[in-house]
Amino acid sequence: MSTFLERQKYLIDYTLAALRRRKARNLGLLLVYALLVFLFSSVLLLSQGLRREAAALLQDAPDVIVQRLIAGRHDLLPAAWLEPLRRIRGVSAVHGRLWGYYYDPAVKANYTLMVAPDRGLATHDILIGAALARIRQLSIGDYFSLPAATGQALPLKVAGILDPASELLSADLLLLSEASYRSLFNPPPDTFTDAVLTVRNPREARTVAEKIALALPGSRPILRTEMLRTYDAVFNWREGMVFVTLSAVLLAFVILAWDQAAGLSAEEQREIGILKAIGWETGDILQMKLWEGALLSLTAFLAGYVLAYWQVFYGGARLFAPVLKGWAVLYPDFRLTPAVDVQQVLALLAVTVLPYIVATLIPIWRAATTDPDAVMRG
Amino acid sequence: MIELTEVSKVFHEGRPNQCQALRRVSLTLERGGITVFRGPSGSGKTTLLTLIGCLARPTAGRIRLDGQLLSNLPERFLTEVRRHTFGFVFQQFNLIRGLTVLENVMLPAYPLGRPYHELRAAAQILLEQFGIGEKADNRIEWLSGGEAQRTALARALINDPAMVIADEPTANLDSARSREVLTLLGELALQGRTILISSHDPLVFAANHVKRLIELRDGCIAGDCPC
Repeated sequence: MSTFLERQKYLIDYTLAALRRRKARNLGLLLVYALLVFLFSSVLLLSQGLRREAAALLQDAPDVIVQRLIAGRHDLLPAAWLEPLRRIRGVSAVHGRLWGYYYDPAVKANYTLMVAPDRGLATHDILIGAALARIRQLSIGDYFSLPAATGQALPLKVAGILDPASELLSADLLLLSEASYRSLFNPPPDTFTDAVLTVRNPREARTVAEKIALALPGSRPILRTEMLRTYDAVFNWREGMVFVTLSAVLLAFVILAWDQAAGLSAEEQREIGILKAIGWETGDILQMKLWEGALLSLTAFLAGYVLAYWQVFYGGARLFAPVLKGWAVLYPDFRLTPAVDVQQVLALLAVTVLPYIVATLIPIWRAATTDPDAVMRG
Repeated sequence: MIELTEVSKVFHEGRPNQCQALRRVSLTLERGGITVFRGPSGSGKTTLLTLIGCLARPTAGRIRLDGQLLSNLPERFLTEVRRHTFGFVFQQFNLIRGLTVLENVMLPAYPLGRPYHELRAAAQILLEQFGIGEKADNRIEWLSGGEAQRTALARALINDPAMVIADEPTANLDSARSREVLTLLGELALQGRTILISSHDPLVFAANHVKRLIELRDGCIAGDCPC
């Protein structure tokens, strides 16, 4: 055992010396490699962080949302539906919600407007999301007007800015009073946008949803778990899009690694010949080269991953945020909770380290199996 | 004892540039002393030494070392024999650039996993023995031709082989340095090692302790005389 370890120490020692000897080439390769790992880990860390954040925030979302569908499209929900919903066994509370979207041509952004009865807002008071406040440069006490349904401007006073901790979901949110909402959109009286239900036992949410569908034809119950799944799907899709783009980078790197390894310099080939001639086996050469690949790729992996970790969790994730957070003008600005997922790290190792080792091993094996007698011929 | 029976070596077999380097060579080499293979360039001296030293296999014929057939051994066993039985000194020195003198000397022993302090001490003793102990931490690139050849000799001996194969060991040295190297080889022969040298340098033929001169021409043995 000690002979084995001693041998590995010698091989590592030789490998480090070999890496130092070809400093410029190995440094270039290390930089490209670290950049590749940095790009992939940035995407993975950011999208997984976003998923975690969304899941944490949706913990407070309603158990079930009920919408009304007409011809497969979302329509306003009559207030008369609230009573039958309350009567369904297992439902502990029901209330109707009023919300909608407003496209602000001035900043080319969509706002989500929602009535918040529990906030006790005065008729013209509003609470806005941090991103909205940033883009419109609004602070508490400022006035802000939106065109009402009559065509007149409706003045609204910023009474507060929503907690930046929930910015992932509230970036573009504008909370207002029911009176202001009705002045802005003029919906028919006794209608709501949808209804939210609290279920006594959340594990029965699916049964409750089935009962709603039966009791109110044309209704569409949406469970919290389904919302989580939708967020997951959205981030998966965005992540997938970025990976497809990055796969070209990965391919370019594999070609580079292959080229570097296949084009073993005359100096390296001579070295392999000398080592074999003085008593190294093909297996020793391969092990030495494996150490070389492992040291190079693990250093690059560590550098790329640590840099990506810092960039995502402490540097504002500027690189991929526009793609992964959403294509919007109002980007949420928030700090993700730092976390490392072992499975994710292993997956990343597999997509970056393995292709490198495979790409380099075959040409080296070819060089290492040549007869050492060539070295005798100068 | 090394026995070669009807040994032939063909390079690039079956290709237009096919070349027969050795033709049915049969030879017996006793242990000890210095044996010199001489002959013009292309006569097959180096090829013969690579076959004896297990660096390549013959195309035909058999090579035996102390009765053990080497010519059909798998690579791993062949390396094992090469590692423990032979030390090589090359015409171009073939030291690894970028490493120190000491590291170059220790290199053949790396795969054996000898304890570091023991190996380092052994390498240092060899360097002292060859008069270049103070150069141990110098990089190879800074050495003179004579120092490089002595480093190569020390490297050849680090695994304590019974035989040293030296291919044109004086080809890149001036007369004074050549004599120094031949003296060192002579001392090794006195220690009981078998020294096989290929050369066309008259200084080598006239060296002390040379007990046999074998002449090669066109891949065949053209002369064999004890000294």
